[in-house]
Amino acid sequence: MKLSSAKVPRESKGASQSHGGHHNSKRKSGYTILPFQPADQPEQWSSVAVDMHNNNINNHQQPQNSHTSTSRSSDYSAGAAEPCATGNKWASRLLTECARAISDKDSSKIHHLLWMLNELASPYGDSDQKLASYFLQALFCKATESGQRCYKTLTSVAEKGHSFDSARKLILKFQEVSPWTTFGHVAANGAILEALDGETKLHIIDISNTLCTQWPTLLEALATRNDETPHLKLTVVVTANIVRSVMKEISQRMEKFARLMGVPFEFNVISGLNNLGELTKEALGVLDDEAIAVNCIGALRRVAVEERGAVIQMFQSLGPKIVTVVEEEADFSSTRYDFVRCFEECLRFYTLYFEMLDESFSPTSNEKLMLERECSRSIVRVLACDNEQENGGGECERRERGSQWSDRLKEAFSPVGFSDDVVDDVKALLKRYRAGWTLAQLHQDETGLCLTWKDEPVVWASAWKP
Amino acid sequence: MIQPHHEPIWDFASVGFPTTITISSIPRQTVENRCINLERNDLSQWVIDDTPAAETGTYHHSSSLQADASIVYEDNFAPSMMLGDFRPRKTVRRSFWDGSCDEELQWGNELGNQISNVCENDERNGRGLCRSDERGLSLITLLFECAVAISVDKLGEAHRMLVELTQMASPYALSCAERVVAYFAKAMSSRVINSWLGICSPLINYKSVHGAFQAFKNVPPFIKFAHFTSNQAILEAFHRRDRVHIIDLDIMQGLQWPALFHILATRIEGPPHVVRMTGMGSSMELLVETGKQLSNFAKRLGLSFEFHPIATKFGEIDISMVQVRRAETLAVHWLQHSLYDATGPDWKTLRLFEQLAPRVITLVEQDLSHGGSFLDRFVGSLHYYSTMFDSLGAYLPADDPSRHRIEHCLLHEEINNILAIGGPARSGEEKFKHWRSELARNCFVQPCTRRWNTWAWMEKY
Repeated sequence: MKLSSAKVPRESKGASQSHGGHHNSKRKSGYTILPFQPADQPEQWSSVAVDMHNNNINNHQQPQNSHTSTSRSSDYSAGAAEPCATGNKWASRLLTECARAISDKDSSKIHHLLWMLNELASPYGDSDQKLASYFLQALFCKATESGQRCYKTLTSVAEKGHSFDSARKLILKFQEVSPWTTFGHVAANGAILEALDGETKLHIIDISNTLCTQWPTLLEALATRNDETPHLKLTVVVTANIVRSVMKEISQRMEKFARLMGVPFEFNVISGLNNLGELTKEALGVLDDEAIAVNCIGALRRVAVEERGAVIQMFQSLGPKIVTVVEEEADFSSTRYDFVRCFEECLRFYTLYFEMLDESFSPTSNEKLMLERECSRSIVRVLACDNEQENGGGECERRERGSQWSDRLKEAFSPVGFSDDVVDDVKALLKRYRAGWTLAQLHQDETGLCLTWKDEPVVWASAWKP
Repeated sequence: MIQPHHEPIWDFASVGFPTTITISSIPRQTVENRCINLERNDLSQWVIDDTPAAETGTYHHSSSLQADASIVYEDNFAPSMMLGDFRPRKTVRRSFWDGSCDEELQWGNELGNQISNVCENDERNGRGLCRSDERGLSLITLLFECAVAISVDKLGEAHRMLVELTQMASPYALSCAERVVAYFAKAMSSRVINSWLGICSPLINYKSVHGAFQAFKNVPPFIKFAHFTSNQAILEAFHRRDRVHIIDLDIMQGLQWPALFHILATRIEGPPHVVRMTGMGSSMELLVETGKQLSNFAKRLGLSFEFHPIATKFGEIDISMVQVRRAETLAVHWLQHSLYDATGPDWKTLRLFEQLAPRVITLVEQDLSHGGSFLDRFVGSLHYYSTMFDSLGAYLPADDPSRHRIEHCLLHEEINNILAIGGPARSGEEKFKHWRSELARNCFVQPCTRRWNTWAWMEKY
């Protein structure tokens, strides 16, 4: 890829003509200063630039631009100027253009768009600025092939800063302002309780990173619903490194809580797995007289795409009475060999997510910032890390839609609809949050329930039996 | 894959600074010395911010910030660090996710654990620092390491450290130092990317910048103070003059002038026969709007007023564009900032000053230099903006949206520009380090009498 290098001279030469270097029209010297000469300018740029620019077209956005300068087309210089201050969705346009340029390997365009994004982006600004910032990071990594390194750094920093307190605070605050996570909990608990009703020895295999925030209500329901409280064994399989360190704290609290509820309880943690498919009945401590429930929240997406079938077979081998699966509605999996399509899907999903965060949290919330940073790691992982490097450690992040998961699960299980009671519970839950959240069933024959945010499906919950 | 730009292009030789910098040599020393001073101020702030009111075990939200802040400003321009004492934070008890559990059943109902940055049990290590101090210190240390890496062209290393740093520091933190680090890290990260791309021009959203500046003018008294003193100097220069002309090199919304017009309209010797204003700025549309507002205001006061907008940088105009008339008393006003380059080449600006020979130049300078090498600017601006952030923090609560707006849309923009390749002008031009000395050297004299006990001719904030 030929680079067009843009050079700013070391010091002012005194002459007004070349000062700042922005007017340098000497192409022959090998320097092309941005903004580019009109000859270089592909037509698409003007349209992008003019689009994102609503009324304030003037020549003064380039710093050294005198009133009479004509060394570049006015369209271009105008366009490289003020983005509309009132949210013109400039970010998604610029980002998509840049992704296409990367896919086309158009070096000068990549340079230019990355520069614009870099100038306009900020992780602490409005929605557009945030999207621009996090996606810019991924695009930059992609263009410089430093995605894997960046991702490693991001996750190691996150792990270092992670503590039980910070994680708990974060999860609880998120649950307080948004049903994004609690939706799945309520639906899954409802399905599990109904499927295991009447059983005396329950064994729930919890494959998730929810820090067990799902289980207190279930324990409470077990304690109050039946005359004879069943024995509950909870085996938590931790799939993200970041959560491992806090599980000890959690196990103590869970045991204490169960004691208080009067539920006979046993708690185990399995972590350090490279591959979920490697789990066995023995490793999980599954006994023949137990009624098994497999609860999978946000975990299947962490499995490498080629191994997902094997994991579902593994579930089947445990002989569960019910399997509950909750995932986010986005498809980064079928598009994984098509950068632009994957990018667009990523952008679509995270635009929704960021908007949801902006509307649910206060503007200066640290918790919101933590969640956004978590997204930034996923974005880098999906967009800037090669597929081949998706080794174990459960950090794949390639989401699939409910319909895709259903196709996989149908190989080993058949769907169970959520009962009216459970649906009522979920509806009651949604009422406790701000407007914008509703329930949907995607199509007549689609399985599971979908949580929608402003009519866009965002989280999918489903239940399965053998 | 994009290759990084190979030529070292982000910094310019400046007067008096060594051109080769190695990590173990003098600049590091200087950096460390300044770092210590900075830490002393901020350490106390961190300790106060992050220590809970452990004795009572309860927390309350202080609503008396405004009153405290105004008291301090009367005595002392820079707000005292001790204001931190009056700012305990509110914490919320959260019941376990569905509200049906009793409080005993909560996760983490231990008071101490509610706060993340707490000085746990007041553990202090050998250096007398508790955990939040250490956190702040390690952030600042890492920030310095990044700056040094950038100054010696180790982009990859700097980028890696900045990726870390930007994940660790939050701009919503209670600690002002952490906020400063968050914004500095982001600015440096932006610069690294620009270096990599080989481009350093800015893209400026003037509307957003002007809006944030307006918010800034309404909050801390810095700007109001500058307006007041410069207006007084202009009034003095206009004493008994009938034809007056003010040139404002970067007028923005012209918020300073109504007050002046008011005094001119009601002065003892009667208002001037004509008041002319030449307003300069970035966008003709914004200038025309400002002109309209000022004209309306002047009309209501019965002042005869003319407004001339010039949408060019002062350093780039021809003197004939200013249209100074005979027998006119000229005042030039310049409120400097680092949001964008308002005036172009400094030497040209100075020459124009000499040609115009105004009766008074009122110059409001930031205590910050746009010139010099990257490290120079880095250290100077770290010091300067730490003070700015601290003073905002003394004035406004941590979660105040206007505070966030000022910090993000204004201070962060300035930081971004100062740390950018070539500083705010991003042009490679040499900028004066110190306008005051330049003006003094070039036959502009500071008047010596003043009643209000402030600098009339040169103010700094």
